Amino acid sequence: MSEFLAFFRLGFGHIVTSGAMDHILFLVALAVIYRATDWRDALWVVSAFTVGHSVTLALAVTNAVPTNAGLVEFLIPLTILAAAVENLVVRERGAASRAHRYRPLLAGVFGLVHGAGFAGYLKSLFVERIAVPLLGFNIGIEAGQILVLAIIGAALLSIDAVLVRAQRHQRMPRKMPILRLRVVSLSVVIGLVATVWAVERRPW
Amino acid sequence: MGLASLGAQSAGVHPLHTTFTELSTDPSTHAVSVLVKVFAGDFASAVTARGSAGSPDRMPPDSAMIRYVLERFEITGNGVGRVALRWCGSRRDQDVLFLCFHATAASLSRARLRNTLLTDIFADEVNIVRVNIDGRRETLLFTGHDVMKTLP
Repeated sequence: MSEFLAFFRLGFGHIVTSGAMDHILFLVALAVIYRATDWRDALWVVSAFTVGHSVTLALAVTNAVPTNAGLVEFLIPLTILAAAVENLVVRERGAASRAHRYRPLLAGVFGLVHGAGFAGYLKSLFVERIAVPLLGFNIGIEAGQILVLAIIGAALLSIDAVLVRAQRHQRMPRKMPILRLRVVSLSVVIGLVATVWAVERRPW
Repeated sequence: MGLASLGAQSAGVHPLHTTFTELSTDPSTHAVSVLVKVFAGDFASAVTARGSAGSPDRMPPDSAMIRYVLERFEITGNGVGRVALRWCGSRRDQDVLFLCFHATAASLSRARLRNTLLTDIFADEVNIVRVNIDGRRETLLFTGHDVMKTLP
């Protein structure tokens, strides 16, 4: 096996696992606002996230920026919480809205924080000849994220079906559109989980 | 309930359970060099879990660490049996422990390498070995389900 492929598999396996829950929850927070027909926007946002954490990873591994593991561990759930809050606060996301412009930027910036989380580990082990391992690891993560995104998309469709049924049986407010109902309910849960993590990981 | 268990599960960050080993040979001297890089805390936990002295904060004695590695990192030579790895010391750089072994073997071409380091304590352990056998380079990836590979 080539070195690139070995690290690709390491990155892919690192994301496609239940242990990657904070990463996956952030992806859910990013993806929850999109309809199935908006998959290109979702992919673009997730890719911006990859670009963000790739940049930090590269900078941290090459010692260009210092990493404080405790602070990064605390900041990661805060980024998840911020994404959930943004989902709740921004109601209008039409094609002409600014959401299409700032969400990839937001994902990229938050990706910078998540990348620092990986960096602490990779930096320690691969101090020499880092380029190929780093590239393989990052592309593996991106491939893993796309797979996770596809699974999230399927799960969101199922959730929508459940919400439609619940609305029919008057267990949910009928006036609220299904998409908004999904965004609100999932974002509240995501926000609560992220808050619990942030409290548990607080550095003080 | 679900929220609580999710919180408990991921209270710590998402760790990368991996070791990185460089295995090389020098065809002119038949020298075999093995350098294992492992997170010190993880390694201490694995060695300690076997009943040896030590904790993640305090490293176990060399004898326990050597025994652990030799039981879990094994080169079976092509017609020469098990390659006898000899300890050549360790050093620590922040979180990472470097474990050095060396041996002498006429040829490791097509020899078998078994690597189960830390798979006893982490189900998601991935062990990477960068191999340079007489100039032939390859990277081998070991998981808990895939522990034996043939060297190039």
